Amino acid sequence: MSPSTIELLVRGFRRSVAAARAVRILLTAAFCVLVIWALQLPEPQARRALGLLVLGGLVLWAGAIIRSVRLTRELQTGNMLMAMGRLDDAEACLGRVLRRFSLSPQVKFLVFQQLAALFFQRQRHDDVVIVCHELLRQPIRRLHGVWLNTRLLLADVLLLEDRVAEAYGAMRPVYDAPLTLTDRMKLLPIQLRYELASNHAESAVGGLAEKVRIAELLESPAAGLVHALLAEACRRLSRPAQQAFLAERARLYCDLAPIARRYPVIAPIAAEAPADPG
Amino acid sequence: MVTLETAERLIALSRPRGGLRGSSLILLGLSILLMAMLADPDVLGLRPPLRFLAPQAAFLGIVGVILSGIARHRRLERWAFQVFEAALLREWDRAEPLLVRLLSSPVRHPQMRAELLLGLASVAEAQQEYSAAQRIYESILGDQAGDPLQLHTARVMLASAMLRTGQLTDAVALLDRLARADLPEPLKAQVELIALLREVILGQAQDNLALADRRRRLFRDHLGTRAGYGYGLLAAAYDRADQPDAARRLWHDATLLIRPGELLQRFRELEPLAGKYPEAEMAL
Repeated sequence: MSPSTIELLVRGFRRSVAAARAVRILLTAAFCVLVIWALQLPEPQARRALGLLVLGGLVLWAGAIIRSVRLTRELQTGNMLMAMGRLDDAEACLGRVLRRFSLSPQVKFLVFQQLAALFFQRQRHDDVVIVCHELLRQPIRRLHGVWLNTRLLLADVLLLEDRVAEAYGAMRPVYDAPLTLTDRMKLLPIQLRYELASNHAESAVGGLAEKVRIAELLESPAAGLVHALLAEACRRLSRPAQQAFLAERARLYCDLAPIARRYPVIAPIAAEAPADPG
Repeated sequence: MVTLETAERLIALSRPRGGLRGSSLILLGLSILLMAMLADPDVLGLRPPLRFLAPQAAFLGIVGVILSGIARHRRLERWAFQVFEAALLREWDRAEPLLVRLLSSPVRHPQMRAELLLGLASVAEAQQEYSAAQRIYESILGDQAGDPLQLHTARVMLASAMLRTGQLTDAVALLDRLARADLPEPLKAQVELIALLREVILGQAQDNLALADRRRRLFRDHLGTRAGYGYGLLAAAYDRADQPDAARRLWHDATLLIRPGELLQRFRELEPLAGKYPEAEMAL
């Protein structure tokens, strides 16, 4: 995607979010004006007008909910296409959802975040940074999942680009938020990569047993990566027994060589571990 | 303890009831009342100030019912999330009371109900109450209430529970059906794990060692830490085939991922290996 296209995408996103907000404000204002007008009508027209207004408001509300549900379903289709590796179809699907009107900006935030995840899969790191920054400019703080995923995705990409200080800036607010176990599972690999990139191996091995326990809950490649990162931290701190234990476990989860190509920080561990167990 | 009776009771209590009940009925009644009062203020024959207050009260009632419904749903989601976390951490003592509380009243969302019932079955299995677990899996499959992944998990785990309750013919038939299905690799890995357990229980594991490498790769790629269970069962297969070196290596890998006590609690068939081969040293 050329820079102008990503700019167009961001502009389109801003427009759709602003439009949703404007229409909500207009509808609320129109409803209030109509209620005041209805109250000034003589009886029994006043009651009938109020009744119709309540009914109309409910129909509009239900319509907006149905619309949001439909868009959310399309978003899920996009997610499924991404999971199946059909990235072109996923991008087309997410683009369609982004262009559709919705009274709920939350749906737009979700779609935009999924687009960032898709760009991440395509290794379009600059686009991910632009999209994440744009999302963080929006009021997404109370949408905990979207907020957290956006910050972690941004930190992940910035670490891949060796922009360590910026990655810390992206991650820092996450530490002040209450985190669930699932959040901590997402955070752990990125936190360890940051700690190793900034030469804080001591921090990386702090609470080692708890970190290993969380790593055990991850899927094979992520569990392998976290074990390898912890092994690398132990290597730097000259703790050979723990390093060997963690490296051996990492090898049991996955082949480390392809992971080391993406995350060179674990290259020393990948180089010493056999490629295939057993 | 999740006994068969507990499971039966919670399955029945959590089943969504048809028709309008509870809050839906109150909401409908209040809406009709409000509309009637707006259309004809004399419909209830009230005098001021009740005549003025009644529509406001009905409106507040509607808002109250909607808000309490939202609050209830959020509370259920919060508890369900706690169950999910407890199950991930295998903290069954924490999960059980939450599950009992959640399943003691109708759960309308089918996927949430299926997830909670799967959690309850996991608690039952951890307590070695396999009949209860089997009944729960059968009820999920009988109702067909859940997403395809939940139904697949229920099928695989039903086969596993039937192996434990001695219904070997049914378990073998179900596993054969699952093995023939065209499944993606992550789902196939779950099936292979239970198929391997079946072979170990029936004393056939040593005959299928040709599959061992493929199985090992599947477990490693798709089961995460649970691959350790697969390595343990493969070690049992090699042990029975009188190949102690391979068995020792696999037992080492199994105990490197999962502590021996946990391995033996889940698969008692591995007990002979525990005394025979050295376990991996845990450096943490």
